[in-house]
Formats: sequence, C-alpha cells, structure tokens
Amino acid sequence: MKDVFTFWGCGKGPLKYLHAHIRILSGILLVGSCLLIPLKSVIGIVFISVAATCWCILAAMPGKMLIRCAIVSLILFFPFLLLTPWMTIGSSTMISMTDRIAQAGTIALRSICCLFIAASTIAVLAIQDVHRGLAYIPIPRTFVVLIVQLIHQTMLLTEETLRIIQVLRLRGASGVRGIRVLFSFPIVWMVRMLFRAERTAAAMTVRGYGIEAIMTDKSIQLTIADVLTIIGVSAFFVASVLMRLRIIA
Amino acid sequence: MNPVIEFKSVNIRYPGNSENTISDASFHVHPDERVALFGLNGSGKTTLLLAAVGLVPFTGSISIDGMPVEKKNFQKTRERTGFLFNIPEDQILFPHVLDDVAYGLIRKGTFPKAAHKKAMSVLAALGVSDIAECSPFQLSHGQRQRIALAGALVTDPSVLLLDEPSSALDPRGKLSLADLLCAIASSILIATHDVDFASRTCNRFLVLCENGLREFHNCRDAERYLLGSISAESHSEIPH
Repeated sequence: MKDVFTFWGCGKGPLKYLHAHIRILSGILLVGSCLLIPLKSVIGIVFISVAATCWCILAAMPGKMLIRCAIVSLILFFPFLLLTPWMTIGSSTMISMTDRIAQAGTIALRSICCLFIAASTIAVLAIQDVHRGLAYIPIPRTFVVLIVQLIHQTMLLTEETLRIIQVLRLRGASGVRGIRVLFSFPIVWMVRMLFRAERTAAAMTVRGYGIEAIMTDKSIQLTIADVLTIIGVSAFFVASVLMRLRIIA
Repeated sequence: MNPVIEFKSVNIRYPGNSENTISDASFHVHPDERVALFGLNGSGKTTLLLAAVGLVPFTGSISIDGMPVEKKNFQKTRERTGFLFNIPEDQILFPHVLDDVAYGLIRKGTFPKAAHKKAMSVLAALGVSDIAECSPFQLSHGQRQRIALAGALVTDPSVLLLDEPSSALDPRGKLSLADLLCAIASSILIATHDVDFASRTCNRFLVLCENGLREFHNCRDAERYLLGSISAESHSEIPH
C-alpha cells in the first residue's frame, strides 16, 4: 500500500523532463489511442504494443514497479482469457476457438497496454506536479479542482488507512486471536474517514476553497522535446481515430 | 479601543447533548493582543474557535473585526481570519506545498507570481522554505503544521485563531514560532496546553472550565488555577 506514495514520480526516464501538462496530456492521448485502435489486424496490434513499450521505456519505471504492474494486470485481465470458451461475438455463438482466443486476447492486450501507459505516466509525474499540470490543460476548472481533490484526498485516506493498519499490526491483529480485531477494522476505518471528511470540509469552508484554486502563470515556454512529444502522440491519436473510422487500414 | 474578537454570552450545544459545551462565555481580544486559551481536554477550546468562524452554531454574539459572525457575514469574517486546525493535514488542500500556502492570496486576486513570492517569504520565516516544492505527503507532522500555519499567516489576517499551534513542533520550532507570533500585527487567540509556549507568546490568559471563563495576566497562575490549586473565588470574573 505504501507504493501509492512511492509510485508517483518514481520513473527516471527522459519523459520526466517534459512539462507536467505535456506529460499528462500525452498520457491521456495515448490511453485514448489504445482504446480506439482496432485490433483486428496485425498492424493495430503492433501499433498498440509499440506505443505502450516505447512509453514505458521513456518513463524508465523501476523494475520492481514494472513487475508489480505486471502482477496487477495479470490479476485484473487473466480472467478474460479463462472465460474464452464461453465467449460470444455479437449474436453468434457458433465461432471457432481461434476467434474466441483472439477476442479475449485483444481485450486483455488493450487493457494491459492502457494500464502500463497510465502507470508510466504516473511514474513520471510527481504528485506535486499534478495540480499545476492539470491547470495548463484546457479543460473546465471545476473538473480540474475535482480531479486534484480526488487525488489529494485519496492519498490522505491511504495514509490514514496505513496508520490504522500499523496500529492493528502493533496491537497483534494477526492469527486467530486477531480476527476479532480485524472485524472492528471497517467500523474504525469508516468512522475515521467520516471525521476526516467533516474536518476537511470545515477547512475548505474556512479557506474558501473553490475554482480559484486553479492557478496558472500563463508564462510557460515549451521546449523542443515538449513540442515533439505532443506532435508524436497527437499523430498517433489521429491515426488511431482514422483506423477506427476505417479511413485508413 | 474596540476589540477585534468579541464573545458576548455565547452558548454552544452540540445536537444530541443535553448540556451546553460552552455556557455564557464572554471575553474580548484587543488589537495586537495575544491571548492564550487553556482548558482541560473536552472543555470546549476548539469549539470556541470554530464558533468564531461560524462552523459551530451558537447563541449570543460573536464579532470579528467589528463584524458580527452570522450567515450573511461569514465570508467577510473568514477572509479576515487566519485559522489553524489542530490536525494540520485536514487544512492542506493541495498536493504542492507552495501552491497550498499561496492559495489564500490567489483567492484574494493576487497574481500567482506575487502570491508565490509572498508564500516563500512566510515559509522562510517559519524555517521551512526548503520544502516549498515538496508534496505534503513527503513531510513530517511538524512540517505539515508549519505549512498549515504558513497558509493561515500568508494573507496577513487581522485575527489569528490557532488551535494547538505548537503541538507537533520541536523546541527550536516552538521558540521561533513564539517569536514570529510576537512580531506580527494580528490579534491572536491560541487554544493550547503548552504553558511554556503560551507564556512566551501571549500577554493574557483565559482558562475555560466548568465555572466558565477566567482571566489571568500571569501564565503560571492560569496553570495553577487549571490544576485546581487556586480557588476560583480569588480571581476576578471577566467583565461582560
């Protein structure tokens, strides 16, 4: 669970030196491309695999984190492959096993690529960059405020949960004798979260938290690397849209 | 001289409670005065501070900077108040230290560059300018407390309400915070258990207990009264 904190900004690759909003925007466009690109042809599969691999290499996530991502993707998406024998495509159930494997495989591949791209983007983004990065992306301020608070409060709740877990460990909540304590965990957790939410709401009220929270200096100068990255990723996104619309093969 | 903080016959009762948490509390804080508020656990120190910014319903009257604390004035009174909550993490609302401290100024319309510059100077005064670019999640409890305090100080509020400001600070941090609070031109009300910090910082001391509020001009007397070694009768009631 501590990985939630260490994951942000753990990447050491060249992507880390781009402006925060370019990193976020590129990550979003790449995930969007992976969702759009049709995987019925080999070219689609190659496209999506190369894009995800390149993004991971450029992020240079530590090996330990890569392994953890692989484990998570295995846990999340392996069940798709297990369900292959019962898979239907459209209204037809009379399809060959190869088609079924291909269908399950493309779902798994698409999901794994999205997961790795998202993880790599987070790995090259320190948590303190999120707010400023999002502020420069032309999206509604209310949305940015919500996203920033969502991330910030999730981190706070994770921290609080970690503290409760430490207390449970310290007070011997393990083994058979610990089961009783473990049952009380959800109650303790929920009450603490509610109190924290109440206190945070009070602090927001006193500090007048609102959409003014999104501050931009306007005086940001993009580097050549920023421009090249956004052009490359945008081109990939456009290509995937065209492929989805069958304008190009 | 008109008081900056004024409580007149304030009663506070939480929903579901049969008794008042605060009964008939009256006191005032004049400009540039620094007042410590002592009390046992659960005596209502935090409640009193929360009432001053309209976060707890009360009867009686409270005014901040001559303005009554009531629904139509909440925004104005809060803008004039710097508030430090007793759990600093609750009031840090940004994943970036400098952005969080500068927020109060940005909200008032200061340009981000100027706001960040002022925020840096406040952080430097609190001895934590080196963590300005960090995330609060990388910091200790004491550092977070200083950041929360910096966020309260950055707007130069006319009133400062501080709930346990020294609870997570090391001895050096307490000394520098006391010196800083003595140097600023705000009226300060501090709810604390830290007698040494209060005696260094404040020039008047209030004790909140079952008998109501008592006023002292000597910190040690206030402490002794709190511990019950001085009888309540030997001290003057605060004039209403």
